[in-house]
Amino acid sequence: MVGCLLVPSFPLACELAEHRRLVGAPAVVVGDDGVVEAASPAAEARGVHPGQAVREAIGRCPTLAVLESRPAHYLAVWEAIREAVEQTVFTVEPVGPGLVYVAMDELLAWHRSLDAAVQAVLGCAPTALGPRAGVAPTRFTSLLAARRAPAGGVGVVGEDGLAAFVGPEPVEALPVAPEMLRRLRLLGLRTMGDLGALPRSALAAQFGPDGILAWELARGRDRSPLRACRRPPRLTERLSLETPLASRPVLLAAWEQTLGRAARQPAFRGMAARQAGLLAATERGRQWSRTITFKEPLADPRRIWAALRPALEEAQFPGPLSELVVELRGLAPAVGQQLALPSARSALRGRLEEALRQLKARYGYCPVGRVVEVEPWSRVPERRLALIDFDP
Amino acid sequence: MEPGAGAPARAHRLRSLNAPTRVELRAEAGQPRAVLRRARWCRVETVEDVWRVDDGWWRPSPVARTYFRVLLEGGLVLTLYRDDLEGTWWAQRY
Repeated sequence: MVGCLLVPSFPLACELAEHRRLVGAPAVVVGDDGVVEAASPAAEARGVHPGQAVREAIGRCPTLAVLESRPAHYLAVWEAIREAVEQTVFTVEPVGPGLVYVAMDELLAWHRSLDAAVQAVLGCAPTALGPRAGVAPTRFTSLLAARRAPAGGVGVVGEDGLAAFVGPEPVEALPVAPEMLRRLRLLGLRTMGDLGALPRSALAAQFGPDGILAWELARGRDRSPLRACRRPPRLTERLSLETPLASRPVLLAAWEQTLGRAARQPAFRGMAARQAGLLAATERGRQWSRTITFKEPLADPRRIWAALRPALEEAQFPGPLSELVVELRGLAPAVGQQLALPSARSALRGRLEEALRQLKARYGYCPVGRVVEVEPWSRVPERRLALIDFDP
Repeated sequence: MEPGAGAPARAHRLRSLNAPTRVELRAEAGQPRAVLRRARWCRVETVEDVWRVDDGWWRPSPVARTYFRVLLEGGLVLTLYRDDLEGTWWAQRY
């Protein structure tokens, strides 16, 4: 049996979880390009749909609540859900934000009933997002079951009632190209039942491999196993700032410090990272994120910083930042690298860093600070320089 | 059992430098003439620079200051400012 955890209109669900007064009201999430990304059922009932320009959407529904898209926030919410699912069951196939398939047979082995197993999966997503679950013999039918289920509910389809369950579903539910759906409508095929009643060869002749796939899905014959996807190990380091920072030099120093902390984690010893994820959040919850892939796996924090710095120098943050997150991804054992002969300067620096580490171990923080320029041009003297913790 | 050698880690800090301190001052016609330092009045030899800052007037705590960069007797250079909203005097190292 395949289980499906579904959060429909994921961006909108994330926003409504924080704006509870908009639940049931016409609302949309709009991207930077002014195009609707997700629309609530109330908005769709008034002719608003994803892909529409926001001006047109407001024209159709003057009471529409327009919410600004926060992709980094949605990704963070999705990552948390995905992590929770991965800790609940071994075989997990994430499709994208808001949709993940799991192997229910594994869960049934250590949960007393199907209901308990489904609740374990549903519990991986916050209730406020309105998650729903579907359980069925195939991946596609479990998705259909989840779509039919109410928020927080579950739809279960057994082997016996599979054809009767799939038959009335509209062909629009098929995961095929819009052009194929358009042609199916032109041919007068409205439901899965209509499609499944045709000979397999007829669909293959019309649509090729997509036709065969559609025919098999319409008959509930999708038997491909779940493709378990394990995330490669990653290291995360967070830095919460007491005072939100806007100054670029101070932010650069803070980013560098966070990277240094991540690279000093014991799990990174002897390892190299292929990619770094940078995430920043403002006090008001707006987020910024960037992923930087290195040309070769990097183990030296100074080389990693050299790769990250240009992106951070040019980044347009959404406001003063109160939290910085550095994620080192794609960890692999570091291969040997030819090192330079040690110089007197590096030996001195090594001794200094060791002394500072001792101080940090003693006091819990490093009592030595580093002077950074904040607003060197400012006519208010105390704004020109600041002292930031020097973290060896 | 022996307590752990290390103290728990704490949040990251950003401390401002050159924070202004209140200062006792003798002024004439709005110009500083002498500054009380270590229980002694130090005469202002010269006022090297004067500038005004009006900033953040849209915020709850606006800044309205008149700065004086002064040379005290003995050769010490200080930055003094008068808070034009409260009428108080403050000193800074630079």
